[in-house]
Amino acid sequence: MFKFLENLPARVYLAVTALLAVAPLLVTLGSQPFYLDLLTRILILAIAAVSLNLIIGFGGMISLGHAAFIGIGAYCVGIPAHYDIFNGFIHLGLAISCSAAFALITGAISLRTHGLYFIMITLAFAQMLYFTFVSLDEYGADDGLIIYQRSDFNGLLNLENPTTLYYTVLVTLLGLLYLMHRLVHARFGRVIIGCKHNEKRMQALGFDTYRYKLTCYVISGTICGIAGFFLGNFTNFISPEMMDWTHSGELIFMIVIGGTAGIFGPVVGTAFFLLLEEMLSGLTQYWQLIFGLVLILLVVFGKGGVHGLLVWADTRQTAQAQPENDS
Amino acid sequence: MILKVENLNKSFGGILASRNLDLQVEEHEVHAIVGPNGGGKTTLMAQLSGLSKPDSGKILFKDRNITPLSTHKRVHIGLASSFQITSIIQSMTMLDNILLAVQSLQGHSYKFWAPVSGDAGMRETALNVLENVGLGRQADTVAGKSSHGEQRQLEIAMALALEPDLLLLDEPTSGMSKEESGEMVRLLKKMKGEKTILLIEHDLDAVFALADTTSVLVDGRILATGTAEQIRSNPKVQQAYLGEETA
Repeated sequence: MFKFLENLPARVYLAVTALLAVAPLLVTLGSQPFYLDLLTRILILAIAAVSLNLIIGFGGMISLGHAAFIGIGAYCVGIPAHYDIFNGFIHLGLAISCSAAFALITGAISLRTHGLYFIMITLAFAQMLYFTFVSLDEYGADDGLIIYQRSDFNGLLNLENPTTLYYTVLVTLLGLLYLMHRLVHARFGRVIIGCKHNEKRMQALGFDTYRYKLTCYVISGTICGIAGFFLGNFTNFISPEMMDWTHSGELIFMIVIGGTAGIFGPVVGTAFFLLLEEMLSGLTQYWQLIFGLVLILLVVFGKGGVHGLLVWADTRQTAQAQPENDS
Repeated sequence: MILKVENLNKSFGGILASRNLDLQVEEHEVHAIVGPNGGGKTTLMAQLSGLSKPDSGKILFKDRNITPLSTHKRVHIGLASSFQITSIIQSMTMLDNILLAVQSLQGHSYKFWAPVSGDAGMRETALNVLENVGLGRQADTVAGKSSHGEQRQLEIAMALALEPDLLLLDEPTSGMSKEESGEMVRLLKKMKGEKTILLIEHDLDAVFALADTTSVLVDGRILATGTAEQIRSNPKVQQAYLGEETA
């Protein structure tokens, strides 16, 4: 039953998960509530990164507009709250349906293109949405809106409590990872992976690749909308800046650092990205220079990201262990 | 008659790659298309498989006009093709490559939960296909790490796994050594009489060893159709194609 623990990446990811599960306790013991905030942020963006990795890492659809879905999810909390509607079921329902609809419409058009054109058109759609919200004075335009009260789930969940919010996000993330695991090993996932490697062949095998990719895109966008729902609640604030294309770029960095080949990679990548940013910005005001340098080195030398590194170390370990067993 | 091509025209810029092309393929025959480079063989294949659409003309498959159908729809009515440039999924194992085809045959793949690896029936079907083409032992080999000859065999196995009524093979022996080529001919010979195969082939030894009927495609149209003997002795063919080869 615990056979999967023989593999190094699985052990590391299980340790990370265990650490995340007890983190609030550690934070309370060390009386450093700030770190709970940082961890919550990591988990929320990890949901977004995992969703983006579904289309990039598994489907080969490189989107530079994924932050749009974070924005949609967040505005689905902020706009109702602006009208004193705080019901969490409405917020979450809106976030899911709006991001799914946006993914369906923009995906249906974007997926007619490939490669560089796909990157550009997803970017264009995201920027369109960005400028739409910049021009909406009713919802604060450029300055955004403050959310005075977090989503209320009829008392089932008190998201105002930082620890509750943290665990809600953590459980969502773990549930999502399990879903991804099932998805990529199921028939649907195999088709998506096949499309990444050779779409023409998949068509010649009888798959309507456009529809499968579109379905995948909608699933990804919807999940990212849920991340946006949490981010809006977490920051108590929404602004168009959330959907700026630089954030889409950061999400790509996160999954590249973590490794696109695995399901858990983006989680590690997100943690690495945000922790490094936090650490460096505390050291010097020129932190972005060092940050950029580290990212470049990681991308150039760390092929396959953290996940790739772990897999590499694992195969080396077994390769070294093998001859000893033989003798 | 399983396939009937009528008056097919296709041009690229000013070049006519198919001009008033007519072709008929009978059921259970191996039909080879030969011809000089630039004669329009690959263009014809692309139109048959649905990768490109003709400018005018009709393609009838089992008495049904399939001209407007896209590639994936043609597969499901029994028309499968393999590529000249090996188009396997390199990072997957041989078995997983075949499983994709088996999965396609079993209806839609909007199944998000049950792992493919847990489906014993599918696995068995896929293993059978691999065994039939002589790749049974390599089932768990990563496709990209096998030899060129084996990759070509897998390429054809993927099309075979779709259980087509008509199998389109674009240069099955492309890039193969003499030995590998002989192996491929043996493999295709095994299917003779059971499957209908339309193949493009450069290797004339392979063609004459395999084909019941051979058509010669020159300048976008069929110059002659007949048995190997008829083709060899046809003066027009000798002049246009075979003549330059033997000269």
